[in-house]
Amino acid sequence: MQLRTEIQLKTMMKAMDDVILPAIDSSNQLALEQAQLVKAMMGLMAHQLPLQFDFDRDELQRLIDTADKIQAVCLQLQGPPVISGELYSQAEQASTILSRCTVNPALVEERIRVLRRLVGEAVQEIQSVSDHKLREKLEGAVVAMSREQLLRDRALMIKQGWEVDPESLPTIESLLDTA
Amino acid sequence: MNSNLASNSNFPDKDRPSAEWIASLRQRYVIEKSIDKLLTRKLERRAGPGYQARTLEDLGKGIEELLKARGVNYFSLVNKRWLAGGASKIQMAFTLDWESPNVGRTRNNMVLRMEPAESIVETSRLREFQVIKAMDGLVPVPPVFWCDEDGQYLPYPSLIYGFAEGVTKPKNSTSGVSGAGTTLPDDIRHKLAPQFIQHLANIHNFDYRQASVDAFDVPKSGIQCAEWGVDWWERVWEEDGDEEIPLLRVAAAWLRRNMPVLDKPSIVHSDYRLGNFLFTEHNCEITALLDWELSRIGDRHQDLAWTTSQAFVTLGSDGKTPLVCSMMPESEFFEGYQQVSGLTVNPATLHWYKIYNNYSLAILLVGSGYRVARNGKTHQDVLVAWLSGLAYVVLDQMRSQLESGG
Repeated sequence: MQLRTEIQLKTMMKAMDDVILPAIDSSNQLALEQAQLVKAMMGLMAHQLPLQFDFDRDELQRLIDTADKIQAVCLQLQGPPVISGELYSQAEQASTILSRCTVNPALVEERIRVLRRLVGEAVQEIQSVSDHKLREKLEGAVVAMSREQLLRDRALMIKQGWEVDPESLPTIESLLDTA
Repeated sequence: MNSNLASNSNFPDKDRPSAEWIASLRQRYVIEKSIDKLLTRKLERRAGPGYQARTLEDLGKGIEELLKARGVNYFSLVNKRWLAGGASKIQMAFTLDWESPNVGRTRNNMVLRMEPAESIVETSRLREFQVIKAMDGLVPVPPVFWCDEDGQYLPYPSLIYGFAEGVTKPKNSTSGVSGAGTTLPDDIRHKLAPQFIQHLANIHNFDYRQASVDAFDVPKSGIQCAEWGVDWWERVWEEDGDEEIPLLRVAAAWLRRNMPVLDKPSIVHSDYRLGNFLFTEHNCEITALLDWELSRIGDRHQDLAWTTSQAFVTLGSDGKTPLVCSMMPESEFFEGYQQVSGLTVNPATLHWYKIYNNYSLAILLVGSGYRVARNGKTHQDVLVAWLSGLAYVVLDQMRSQLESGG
């Protein structure tokens, strides 16, 4: 995925600076203020997005720790429970989820880039091999991978409106099995 | 994420290219001299500043300097305004009140066409100037007046041409970015189609040896034309591409294994389609063929493959018949072209150029588009970034063409 949020935000902010903000009538203070806020909000998004995953993971860990402390306090209470047991069960589930969130998404992206590069190099290197059948096999594997990947790329970009028959494409949600 | 985060230490920093890396690319890929000059200049300037927004006044002053240097005196330049359209160049319209050599005192509506700091497609203003001059009188083209090839007077290399009358699509019609998806009413398409074919035939039959087109190299007979093309775009991919696309490597290998022999070198427009010509609505006459920036002396099949590309096909009024550039069915286009031009259409060569065109278009969209937007090099980075999303449709079409074998 080349058209990531980072480049989208960067180019939108430049368009705001170079073209849109200078074009707003200076007497229209509301439009000027809103446009400046839109640009500032984009800047905030650009700053937050790379941190969002670590930020959420950090907060969830703190909440789990706090839930554990609350449970410890409650265990010392006499009489019927005054705090719903749901807090403890949800904290346990959160703990399981957090244990699965060990890798930052940026590392996944980095591995994608490395493997893309090495697969591309493999295609170039096989060209010097005289066995045509082996070359065809390797290229066939790359084409098959590309067929599946491009289907997802196109489905992800469907809102841009490039597709002649958008209805014929499966949704990106179904392709990624996000349900 | 940093574009080079995933790279090893030997991977070049494409945002700050070293002299050694530039030299190695120039050695590895053999391309036309003027294209080599452009691509080299692009890399040498890449680490420099991004595009600096210019005012109409700035550009007006640059035009005045250029005109004086070209011996034009006693002129005035009025009604300067920005023109929209086109992802690759900055366009400013203006009116020039001047002493024209052949006409005397006159007022001409003109357009300044200027490159940004780095374009989604690096092309030569001198080549564009020469080819339009060469075509003048053969096919309708806008008059070209002056060229600032190296940006000596204007902030960046520029061309000044005359404003031509006409529209690129009927009023009240809708279309996507760059005119793709425009639908023509039957009465208009029937009148435009024969002219569209005739002009293309005239371009391909033109004897370029009679013209001043020394910014173009002429390929030798054999596969040199095809090889120059693949080398050109593979070099651009090396220079600009960020995230690797292995399918492009498969396509490049296929293109090199199957290079067609050139039977007749022709002027090739390289972007001949609906949206790139003007016509007058009252009589449907084509008044100007536009956007010659990618033209080369090469194989006519490149144009034929481009013009008949799926990207420019729309359905006719029956809702079923696919029409080339919204004008005619593909069979009619090829029959008409062969009849009018006397030139043949080789299906295998056509297939090769369909893959070649998609290969180059995908590189331009997702490679160069990303790189220039990342480095803030154009007047509309948000548009070139947006356009990169189209690359996946183009790549998938190319994948399907590769699998069909031809």
